[in-house]
Parts: sequence; C-alpha cells; structure tokens
Amino acid sequence: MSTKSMLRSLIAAVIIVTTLLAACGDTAKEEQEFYAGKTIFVYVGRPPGSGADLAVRSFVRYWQEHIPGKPVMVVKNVPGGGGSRVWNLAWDKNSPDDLEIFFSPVSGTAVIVREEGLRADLSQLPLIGALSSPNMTYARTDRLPKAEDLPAVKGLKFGGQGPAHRFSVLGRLTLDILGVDYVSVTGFSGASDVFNALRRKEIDIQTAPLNFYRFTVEPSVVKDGEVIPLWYNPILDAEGEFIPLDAAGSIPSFIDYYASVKGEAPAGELFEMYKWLLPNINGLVYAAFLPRGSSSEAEQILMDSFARVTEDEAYRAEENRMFGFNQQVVSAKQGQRILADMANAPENIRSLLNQYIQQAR
Amino acid sequence: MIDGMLAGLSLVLAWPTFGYLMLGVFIGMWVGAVPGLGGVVGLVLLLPFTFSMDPVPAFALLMGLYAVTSTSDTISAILLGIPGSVASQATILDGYPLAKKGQAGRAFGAAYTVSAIGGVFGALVMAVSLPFILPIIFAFGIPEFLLLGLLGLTMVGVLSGDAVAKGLTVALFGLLLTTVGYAEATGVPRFTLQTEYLLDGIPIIPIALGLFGIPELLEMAVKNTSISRVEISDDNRGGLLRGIKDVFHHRWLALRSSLIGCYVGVLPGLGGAIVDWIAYGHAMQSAKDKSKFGKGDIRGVIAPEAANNASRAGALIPTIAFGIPGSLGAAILLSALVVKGLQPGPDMLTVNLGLTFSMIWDIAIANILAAGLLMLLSRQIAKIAFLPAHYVVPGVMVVLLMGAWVATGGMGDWWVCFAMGVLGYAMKQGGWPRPPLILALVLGTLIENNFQLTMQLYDGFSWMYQRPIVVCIEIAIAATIFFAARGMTRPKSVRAKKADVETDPSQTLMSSFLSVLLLLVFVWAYAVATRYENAATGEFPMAVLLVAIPLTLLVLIKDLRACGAGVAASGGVAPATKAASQRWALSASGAFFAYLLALLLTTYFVGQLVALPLFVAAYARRWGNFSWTVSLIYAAGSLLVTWGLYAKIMNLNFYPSLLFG
Repeated sequence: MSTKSMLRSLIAAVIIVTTLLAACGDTAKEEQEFYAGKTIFVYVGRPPGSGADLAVRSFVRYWQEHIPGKPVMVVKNVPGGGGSRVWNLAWDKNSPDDLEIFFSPVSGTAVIVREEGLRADLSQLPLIGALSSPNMTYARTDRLPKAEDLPAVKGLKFGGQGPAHRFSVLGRLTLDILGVDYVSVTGFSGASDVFNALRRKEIDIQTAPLNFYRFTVEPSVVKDGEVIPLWYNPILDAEGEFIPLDAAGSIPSFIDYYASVKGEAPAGELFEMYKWLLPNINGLVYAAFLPRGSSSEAEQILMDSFARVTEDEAYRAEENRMFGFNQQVVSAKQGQRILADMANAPENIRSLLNQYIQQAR
Repeated sequence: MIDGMLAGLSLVLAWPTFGYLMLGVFIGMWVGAVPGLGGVVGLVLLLPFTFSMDPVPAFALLMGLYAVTSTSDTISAILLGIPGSVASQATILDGYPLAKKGQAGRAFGAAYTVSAIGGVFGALVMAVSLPFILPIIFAFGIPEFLLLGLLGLTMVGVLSGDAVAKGLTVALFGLLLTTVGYAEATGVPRFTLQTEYLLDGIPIIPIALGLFGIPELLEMAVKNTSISRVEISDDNRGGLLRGIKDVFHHRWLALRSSLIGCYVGVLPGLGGAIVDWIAYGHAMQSAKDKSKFGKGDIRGVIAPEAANNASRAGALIPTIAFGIPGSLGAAILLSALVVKGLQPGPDMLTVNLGLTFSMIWDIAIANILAAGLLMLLSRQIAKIAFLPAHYVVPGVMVVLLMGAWVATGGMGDWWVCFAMGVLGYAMKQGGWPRPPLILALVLGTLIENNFQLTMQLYDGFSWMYQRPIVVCIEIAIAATIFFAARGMTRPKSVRAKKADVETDPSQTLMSSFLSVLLLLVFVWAYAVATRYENAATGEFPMAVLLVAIPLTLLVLIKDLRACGAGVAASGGVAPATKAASQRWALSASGAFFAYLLALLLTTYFVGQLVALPLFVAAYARRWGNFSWTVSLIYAAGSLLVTWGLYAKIMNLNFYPSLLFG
C-alpha cells in the first residue's frame, strides 16, 4: 500500500471514529436530556406500608439515580380492584407522556383465569422489567414435630388469603400433591393475619413470601422451635429449569421435599398444573410497565436503567438487608414471554385452575 | 428495663433527634388537622426521607407525626362536625354540639389535655407491659375478635338516642355497605353494579365526610349562621381553662379510657378505628346522668380523645416486638423498620431495647409537645366558630372534597361523598341517627371475616361456651343489651314528649321517605344476594337483610301512622307539606346540592383545578354576596391550596378532564 493510500485510509478512519464518537455523544446527550428536569410518577397498586409498596419505593430510590438526566420519581399508591385497578389505569391511558410507570405485583392467577375486574391485557403493555421471588411453606411443630411426618398427619389446618391468591393456590396444591389430609381455611386479609392465627394455634400451616418468612417468622418462632420450615416453591430460569435458592439454606424445594418423603419424583395432573403455574405466578412478582403508545426512546432508557439498578451493588445490599435475599431479575423479553404464556394458557390448565379455586370458595 | 428506658430517653433528647421529633410533630399537627389526610398520608410523605437516615432520628420523625395526628384531628371534629380522621369520629358526637354552644375552646382544652395524658399514659403502660403483653395478644383469637365486633355493634343502642329502631336500621344499612366489593372469604364481587370503583368496597372517609360534613355546611349556608349558635361572650371566652379543669374533674374517666385505648390498640385489626367508640360507650355506660350525651357533654370528648392517643402506643408494641402491624399506620412503621435492616421480634426487646424505648419516648414527648402547641393556638382556632358561615363554607367544602378525593383518587369518591351528603341531610331532617352507620362500617368487615373464619376453624358453636374470654364478652353484650332495653322503658311523661316530636309532620314525612328508600335498597340487595351460588358469599348480607327488611317495614309503618297524625294535626296534606318544605328549607337546600352537583359535573369537563375555584367564586358571589374582587381572591386562594397542598406536596393526581386531560 502506498503512503498516499495509507494516509487516505488513516484520514478515513479518523473521520469514521470521530463521526461515531460524535454520534455516541449525541445519543448520550439526548438520553441525558430526555428525562432531565422531569418528574416520573410510579404507580403501585397496593396500599402504603404493604410489602409491595416497600419493595417499589426501595427500587425507585435507586432507579432515579440510574436514569440519565436523574429525573425525580414519585411513588403513588392506587390500590383497588384486588390489585387490578392499577393495571386498568395503565390500560386506559390514551395519551402517554412517558412520565408514568406502573410498577406493581402481578396476580398470575387473575391473569390466567381472567378474573372479573382485570380489563387490562398485560401482554400488550410495554414491559420495562420485572422481579421474581420464591415463597415458603412452614408449619407448627406441636402438630408436625418433624418435616418428614407431614404425609402421615391428619386434619391439619392450612390458612390462606383469598381462594385465588397465589399463596393459597400454591399452598393447597403442594399439600394436595403430597396427599396430605388437611382443611383449607381461606379468607384472611393478609399474610400477617394468617401468621397471627398460626401463632394462636388456630391454623397449623402457611405459605408466605420468603421475605416475610425471613423477617417475621424466622426470628420470632423458628428460632425457638415453635415453627419449622418445610419447603420453598422455587422459580424457574429462562430455560424453564428450577433455580436452586441459596437464600433457603438447608430448606429443600418442594420437588426435593417430595422426593425425600415419598422416595420418587412428583407426578400427576395437579403436579403438571403446579409445574405450569410456578414459572408464571412466581415468575413475575413485581413488574414495571409503560402505557401502550409510549415512545420507544423512553422504553429503551427505562429498560436499560431498570437493568442497571438490579446490578447496582448498593441496591442489592439494601434488597438483601430488607428481604434477606436478592430477588431474581426478569428481563423484559423473558417477562413478555411469561405474560403471553399466561394470557394464552392452555384451556385444560385454565379450566383446572378455575375448578381448583372454586373448590376453596 | 430501667437502663433501657433511660437509654431510650437519652437517644430521643440528643440532637438532631429531638429536632426531627419536633419536625414530625409539626407535620403531624398539620396533616391531622386537614380532614381526610391523617397519619397514614403523613407517614407516606415522610417515609422516603427516612431511608437514608439513622434509625433513631428516622423513627423520631415518623413517631412524632404518627403520635399527634389523633390530637390535631380534633379541630375539624369539634369545629365543623367533620371527623379529621377515623380516630376522631366519636369526638364529633359531643365536641360539635359544644362548639355550637360557643364552647369550642372548652372542648379543645379538654381534648388536648386528655390527648397528652392518654398518649403519655399509653406509652408508660406499654413500657411496663412489654414483658407480658404477648400472652394477652394471643389470648384473643378469631372468635374473640368476632365477639368484640358484636360488642362494638351493641353501641348502636347507645348512639341511637331515642330512635333505637331507626338506629338499628341505619346500622344494618352500614353493615350491608361493608359487603360491597370482593368477599374476603371467597373473592367473589358483590353489589358492585359492574363498576371497578366498588370492587374493593366503599371507602369510609368519603362516607364519613359526606354524611357528617355536608349536612352541617349546608345548614350553615342556608341559615347563614356561624358554627356557634351563640354570640361570643365572657362566658365562652375562658373555655380553654375550663376544659383543662374538666379533665381533672373526670380524671378517672380519662385514665380508664386511656387504659381501654392502649389495650384495644394492642389487638391487631381493631386498632384506632374502633377504640374511640368503645371509650365513648364506656363513658356513657358508666355515667349516672346520661341525658346530656350527644348534646355537648364534655365526658363525650374526654373519653374518645384519651383512648385514641393511648392506642397509638398500644399499636406500636405488636408491630415492633412481634412484627404484627395492627393498622395501616403501624404497617408503614414496620416498613421503615425493615428498610433499616432491623428485624421486628425478640431482638427489639433485647439488643435494640434502647431503640424500642426511644420510640415509646417519642410518643410520650410528641403528645406533650402537640398538646402544648395546640393549646397555644386554640384560642385563635376557636374564633373560627364565631365567623359568619359564608366565610367558612366554600373553603371548608374544598378541603372536605379533596379529603374525600384522597381515599382512592377517583370520581367515585366524590359521588359517594355527595350521595352520603344527601342521605345525611335527609337523616338529619328525618330524625335518624347518623353515628350507627359509621360504627357499622367500621365493624362490618371485621364481623363478617371473623364469622366466616370462625365457622371454618371451629366445628359447630362449642367455641361460644368453651372459651373464657368469649364468655366474658358475651356477658358484656348481654348486659349492654339489658341496660339499653331498660333505658327504653322510660317513664310515660318522657315517652309522651317524644311522641309529640314524632308527630311533627316535617320529620315524619322525611323519615317515611327514608324508610321507603332503605326498604327498596334492602329488597333489591336481597334479590341480588339470593343469586350468589356460594354460601360464604351470600350468608352475611342475607343475614343482615333478613333482619333489615322487617325492621324497616316496622319503622315505615310507625312513621306513616305518625305522619298521618301529624298531617291531621296540621289541618291537611297541603299545609303539612308546606310546613315541611319550609322547615327543610327545601329550595335553599336544593340550590346548595345543585351547586355541588354542578361542581361534580364541571370537574368532568375542566378538572378540579378549575372547577373548585369556580365553585368557590360562584358561592362567594351568590350566597355570600361578596364583591367580585373578594370572590375572585377567595377563589384564587382555594386554587393555591388545591394546587400547592394536594398536587405539589401530596402529589395527588387530579381527574383527567375532557378539556385539559
């Protein structure tokens, strides 16, 4: 190559690099400017002080630092409709301004059985990101001294919230798969109410979020032997494999528990439903959406910043302090797939789940 | 223990913790005084600021606010007959009549003194009770909660005055309203009229504000009278001191009510919403002379105000010591604890005992600070009672409607508030007691849920005689009903006097109209309830309706007979109707409601930020005969408050209007 052509190549390269750098600079600048000086409202469909409210407020505190332009983020509570109102609100937004995010727990059972009150089709809303977390089942030791005795114990009382609530459904399903002789008592207004009844010996067994177990159950009644943990209901990864939960320590997953007491792997119609439900109703515990018609620029900025929060060491430390573990991050793509699965649930699953919920009513 | 107490005190008194406590007290006084806001809203506002603070100052800020909202919410309860929050509902029964007599200062003096005593007493009792409170909490199971709810319901007799049948009918209507929305036991929606707003039930705040607030504002507007129906005089000028003396005169009632407050506050799920009613009932039942209750008896202010402040300390204990929040406010405090990485439970009574005691000290000191500050201000606040109506009504209406809006932030809140305003006006004119409706709303869900759970948990009805606390509460219920029934068998002379009132055609006409309306609602609800496939879904409303329908029929028959007698005494239907419409101030009242209706409809087109100032200007010009300049200044002031307080500070969303989005 001649000196002249080398020089021309070098100049061309410099021009290309400079142009690219300038373009990147412009993009970064545009990103900076998009939310600079603006206020983003984050809607959560649960009342202040609830676990969801706390989780969202904690996340948002870090999120606003990761969005270019550092907008102010204000959390607003819009409880109602059994948690559906916030999604209906997102669904009804006609002229989105990219300044409203809907970040709340998704009731998988409500989506699957198309519960009255939920008008929104969540699979049609732009998903920014989501978090998932497992839940725990535990029992009183005066009725169940050893975890492995469960299948033999008669007349246990299982306490849960509404019949369609995910903890009631998962709790009952696992007991039914094991063939336990139990009575289901549903209608408690929250996990704390169920736990109070457990402490008063009115019920014997409960399924609740892992963070509730870590912060309320474990320090007060597990340490002194009044209650023993039985199993956790796991979450699944992108490939559909159960993810072992480090935070659970020596507590087995339900699958492992079943195998240890029955000597075989679980099977049957109810287990098939459990397996189908688990990635869905445990997979999207908290999800953040934009309304339909929001700009793709806003969607991208928020998705990127959401992902950055989940990698922020300070946030992860706070999350660990608050929940006793780190929640699993669900990408927008993965979350959209879960939502599509729930919206298009196989008719046999939908019908079986409906029947199963009706049995508890 | 003593070391922990002293360590806690030194933590609170250290700077800047004490400064944060003061700040919390100031903010708490403000959010408590604005109807519809209250402690939960205040805690939500402050919570994000505490994330990065150390635990002791963070809790000083939160506890300072939380402890005093039930002191400052007394202002609107006494002055306007509007409950500032759920904790001050019982205070209006005697507080507002005192203000009408020109004794608002006396009521404030008593309320603030006893709030401080209740708050400090509650904190001390809880501090002493810490080691043995757990067995007490867990001695109350689901059947006990059911019976406590029923015991609360027997208060209907006390709150109904002379109209016990009407009081019971109203209470049954309240119980029916609590069944609107998803049934807790089955998750099936009931009586929702296919509307999303009703799926989670009807919120209590718009109901209370509409039922009590709107009829009082209407009366002030129509009669153009000040809150006080008597002129300011030397007799009512020195009221504050008189109120303080009243508390010392009724010191044992104050202490008993404080004790009730802290122990009822301890029980998760009961908490602040019911404690003031229980204390009020206790004051009335333990009084020899009950005749002045409901007409401005200072004991009717002392008892609920002592109890609601004491209950805050009570609610704190299960929250921090066992991770069991007894109320929404306590749940937010629990969140703050969790954010700090503190585990509620035994650690809070051992390694973190100093912090736990610092919270108890926060409550005690905040109550004293708030009472002192409000005492200083109350002489000026009490003067509002002597202002002409048209200066007060539009401004208070804006605050009242925005208070209702805080409930869910939807137009449904305003429609409920408006409908309850109309109902409250009709009840007032028809001689129907309003407090039983609120009491039933507070208790309905508690009774139904615990009934359903009791039925699932316990076979048959053996729990009714096998559980000692249940038996004790049953005895208390029986005694309450017995004494209420004995009170109804009054001397003939009293009954004759009452009969005179009941033949007043204006009252009986309105009462008959209400009876017919309620009967129609009950029959419609019955028809709907029979279609619920599931027993647990329809059981409770059906039980309510099976009593409500015949009782309403009885009330209606009695009303119609009295109405007939009244019409005959008035000389025919036409004179009786004319007299009735004059007494109801029908045209002026109709115009007032038309203004409100116009405000609601205008909001759909232009939103609150335009509709509310428009209402204020129109009212000031048309009703107050103010000049255009004054009317516009008043309207601008209301815009500033609505925008500044509700949009900017509280970040409330307004209605997305057709014109402005």
